[in-house]
Amino acid sequence: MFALDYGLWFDYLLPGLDRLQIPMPLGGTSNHFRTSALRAIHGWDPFNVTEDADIGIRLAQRGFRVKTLDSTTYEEATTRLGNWLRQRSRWMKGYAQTWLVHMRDPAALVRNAGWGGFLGFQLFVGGTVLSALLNPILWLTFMATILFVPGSAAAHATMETMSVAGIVLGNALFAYLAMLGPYRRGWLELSPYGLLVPFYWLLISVAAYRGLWQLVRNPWHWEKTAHGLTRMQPAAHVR
Amino acid sequence: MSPGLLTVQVLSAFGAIVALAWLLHEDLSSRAFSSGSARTIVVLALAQPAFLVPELIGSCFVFALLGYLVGAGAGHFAQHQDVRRVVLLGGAIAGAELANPTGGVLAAVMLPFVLRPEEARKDARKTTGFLVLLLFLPALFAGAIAYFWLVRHTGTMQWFASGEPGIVWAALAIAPALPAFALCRFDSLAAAAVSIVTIAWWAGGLLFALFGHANCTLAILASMGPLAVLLVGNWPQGPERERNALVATGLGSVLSWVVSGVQFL
Repeated sequence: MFALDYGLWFDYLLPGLDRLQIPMPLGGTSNHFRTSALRAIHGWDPFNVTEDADIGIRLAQRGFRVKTLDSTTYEEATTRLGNWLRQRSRWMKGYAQTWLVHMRDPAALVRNAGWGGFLGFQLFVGGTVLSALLNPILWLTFMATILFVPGSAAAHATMETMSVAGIVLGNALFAYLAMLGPYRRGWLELSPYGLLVPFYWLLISVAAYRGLWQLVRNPWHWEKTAHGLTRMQPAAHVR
Repeated sequence: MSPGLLTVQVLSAFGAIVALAWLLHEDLSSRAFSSGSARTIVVLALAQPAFLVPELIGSCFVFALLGYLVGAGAGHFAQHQDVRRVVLLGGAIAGAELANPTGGVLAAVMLPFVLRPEEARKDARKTTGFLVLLLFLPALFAGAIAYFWLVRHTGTMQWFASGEPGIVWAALAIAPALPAFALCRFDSLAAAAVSIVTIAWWAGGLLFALFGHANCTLAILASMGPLAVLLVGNWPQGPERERNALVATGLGSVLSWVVSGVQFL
């Protein structure tokens, strides 16, 4: 699932943002900066737990362009649930911090990044957190609609159809996107795991609520991700 | 249907047919067909009896367009097996299932035999992955169609068969595949893929017609026209190509008129 996630993000979404010139929430695996650009934005925010994503947006706010390189940096996937949850909670908390920081002055964001950049920021930074938070609520609404019949039969039928359509289309869209993730690298054998996305997304929601809780209670705490846990050997093409 | 609505439907469908004719003509011209031959082939292909019946022209055109989009999607995927074309082909088949469920399902089952990427031919797990990827959207739409059919006792096929497609359903059916128009150029594998789609579309539609949807026969015949243009456009270049293409589309058109005449006798 980690590979699908990364395939979609690094092979499709980031190059897409690059092409559309939408501010890019950077990931920390492999970034290269000009020192002068880093100085111009006064370095990174030490209080933001996804300072890399924040830097991408701040660079855009100062008129710098971020480009993707056609290169690969491999990363060890988190293989244990607890470890994964800590990492993902930190990412969600950091995205929420980044959104809150840049939305202190939405007009400036529109002015500096343009309407496309502003909407892209809402979708890829704010939307990432919001969709993860809403997902279990929509699942509960769906379950409630199925189990309990509110009001008239006609109203129920409409509500049920809307719920079914929402749950099926929403999850199907993300499952399909995840399945497409490994295609470019020819890792077709991974595509069927995309069918597990609805369950993966519920885990992401757990991480999002955990991140939200930490944002309120302990906003600057950096939960470390343990590395070197995998027992798998790197594939031949990775070495 | 009210006369005003019928007029709007006929005019819209006629405009759409002209647009499709232009696209087919451009496609043939880009494959080194002379302008005269390309024009004649397109006229022969689109001279279908279904397009002369005001009550049927809208639904039959949508039906024909969907078949064409699946064929075009298969042809594009055969040439460039990239992720965009996987989505286009899957989307085209999924949309087509709304009009011709049996034809769409047959195309979905038959196409992977021809269109498997090279790497997927060597590894069963990659083959499975490819199948899941390609068939995901068609399976999803098939599930949705089955749900509406079994639970809501309604379906899009009746609209197409009755000659009165709901505009929302027609748009929904076309939308996933429409970007296929943006791509072009086929090769010999593409010709095989388009042939398979033609067979699947025809056989599936015929099965549907056998269950009592008589109007569907005219729609199936009409849909063979654009698919025929796709097919002849993919024939290898040679001195006889244009003549053979003219004869084939002409015969197809004559067959349409004969079958239609027999049906209404």
